[in-house]
Amino acid sequence: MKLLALILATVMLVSAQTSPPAPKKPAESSPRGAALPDGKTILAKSAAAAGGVDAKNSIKTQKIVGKLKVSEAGISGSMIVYRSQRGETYQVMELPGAGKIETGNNGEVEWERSTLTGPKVKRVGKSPTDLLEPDSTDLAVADKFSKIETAGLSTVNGKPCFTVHLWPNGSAPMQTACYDRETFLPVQLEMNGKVPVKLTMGDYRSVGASKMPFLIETETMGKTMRLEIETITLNEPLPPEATELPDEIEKLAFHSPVEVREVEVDKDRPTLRHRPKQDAKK
Amino acid sequence: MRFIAAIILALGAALPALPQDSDASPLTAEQRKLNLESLEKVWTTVRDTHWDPNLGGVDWTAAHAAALSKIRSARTMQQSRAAMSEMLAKLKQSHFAIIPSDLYKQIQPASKNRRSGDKPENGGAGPKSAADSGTREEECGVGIEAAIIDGKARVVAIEDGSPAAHAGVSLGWELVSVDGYAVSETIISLAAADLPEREMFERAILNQAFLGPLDERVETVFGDDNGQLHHLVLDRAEPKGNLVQFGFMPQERVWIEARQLDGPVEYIRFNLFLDPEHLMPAFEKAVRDCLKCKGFVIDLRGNPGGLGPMAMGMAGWFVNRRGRRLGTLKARNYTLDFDINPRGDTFDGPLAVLVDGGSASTSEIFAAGLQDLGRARVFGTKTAGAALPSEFVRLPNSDGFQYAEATYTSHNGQVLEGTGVTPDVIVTHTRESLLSKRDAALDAAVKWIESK
Repeated sequence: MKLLALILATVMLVSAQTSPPAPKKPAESSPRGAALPDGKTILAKSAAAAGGVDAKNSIKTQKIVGKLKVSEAGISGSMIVYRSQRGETYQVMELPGAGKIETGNNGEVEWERSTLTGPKVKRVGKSPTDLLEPDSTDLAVADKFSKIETAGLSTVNGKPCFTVHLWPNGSAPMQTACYDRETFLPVQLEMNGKVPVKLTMGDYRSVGASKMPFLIETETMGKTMRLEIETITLNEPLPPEATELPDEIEKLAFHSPVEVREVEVDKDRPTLRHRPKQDAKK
Repeated sequence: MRFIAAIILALGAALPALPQDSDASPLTAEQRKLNLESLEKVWTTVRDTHWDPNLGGVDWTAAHAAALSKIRSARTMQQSRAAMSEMLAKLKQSHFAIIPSDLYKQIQPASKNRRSGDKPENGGAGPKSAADSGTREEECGVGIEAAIIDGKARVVAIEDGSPAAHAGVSLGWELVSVDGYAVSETIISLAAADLPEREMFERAILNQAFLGPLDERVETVFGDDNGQLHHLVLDRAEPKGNLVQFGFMPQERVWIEARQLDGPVEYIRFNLFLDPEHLMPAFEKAVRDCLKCKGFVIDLRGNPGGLGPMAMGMAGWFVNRRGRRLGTLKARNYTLDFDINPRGDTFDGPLAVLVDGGSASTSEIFAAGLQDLGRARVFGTKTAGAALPSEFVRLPNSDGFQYAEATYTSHNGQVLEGTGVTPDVIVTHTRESLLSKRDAALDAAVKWIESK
């Protein structure tokens, strides 16, 4: 029964706030006495390896289409993600036998809706752009982090990588990432929150002027979900789903008698902001 | 139902009088090897994923040694499975089971119903998740639900228009025999077995007895209210509901019914928390159609559970405040709250939930959560106490393996496994109420709603 919760947790991992991770194996601190590059250098090289700032800035929108599989549990499905440079996102997973799981953030409302659990407003912003945030999975932007420390050398998928501890700006706890020693592309990210999650990225390909992973494996709750990305399309207009709220989400966010204040979305996350009735959009 | 077959087979060691797996042919060398690999997978999975690293004090190494010895000397798949089932039984917890591969083979629709592209994986039945209208020949029944009332198997529900209804079978009649098999022997076997979820298994076994091919009739003997025996040869009918599967969970039929009772009171019953693509919209429609009604009755009697998150989604129609949860799942390395997401429109009037010993898992999660929140009044009898979130995987020998890796506590912190949900109002079927064609629990629930 919990497999769907696994999927839900995976959906939420992009913005998950986690407690400090405890890597199972301490990274090798100084392989054969060689000095390791400092964290900021690794991230700078990673950003360059991914195509550089200009390539990144040229991407106004992304559409990612892929197939999901949790082989051990016999679950498979499809996934489409839309994301804008500004931070608007819409993601939909379809799992035959379990239905559809959508998540979205149009800048004003962050929401989730699933066939299984129903609609949920996670956060409501004070302005139409209040909730826009940079891509939290972008591990190459040093400005996102208040502290960056190289922790050592590890091995992911049989290849050595630099382990780096990253403290995101704000109150979010530390993450542990690993960057390929040769390419400097990120190959792993660990977040040990309430539900520990480990992402392993691979099969980097060129998309426009950027390098992007086409294989993402998410390990959480004892299961591995494999996302095989089929296509990544850049700079297409976002569909209405990415910017317009579904009716029932709109109703819950702004017009429902259901209490939405005084509720913590998650212990590690900001308290849901209440939008007073008189400010209702419609 | 495959669920029923699975739990019966899982109980093979405890209930020797019950039907056993027919796979008794000698094992090949390859099968022996795969059985040993399967044992290792089962044993290590429990060791590594059980929420209690101490496994409740069970000597798991010794359990492994005992199972290994038996599997090495096993001559049939049946014996090999029994050894693994015995090892799992030492945990004394629900949701640990070996599911024979035959069940996965059987759950494939007949070839005429099979769609192109449905290729099995892992040498067995692959995941096929969409609802399917194909009928398996062994799943047709006569439209009767039976339960043990005062030590006797009695008819507690008859489906409208079913072969049993047409033949004149009446509520409260004693079920004496099915196809020559004396039901009393089953009852004696069950009484002798150490079963924590007795009522659930009783129901499963009694109802399994009627299932079979559509073109074969069932010879039954019933005793009426005067003790007179009725020898009835009943046709079987197509089973109701959608045939669905999710992941490696065995395929099941899923149905939902909703009707308005006097009051008006909306009555909703469904047999499993599965097939959300159909069940959730049907549930939503039933709620929306009756938002102005006096009350709701959700009948979870005989419902063994399914996908836990569906309980959260359904509860959202009846809870109008955020921040409420049905309970919490606790695994070894994480916890997960079963948060309720209130809908935009909710029903805020009286809500009754009917349960019995056949209500398990997600049914218990739903009932206990709403009871703890003070949102629902629960009527019926104590639930099965089988509420462990579980997974289904395939083993190297193609058998299925169900295992729990988390425990679950209700909103108020009550561990449901082994305890179950105690109704606010205990109401049991009685011979008299059934013979007068009354549903005592439903009557009590409606009466309570009308009093509000």
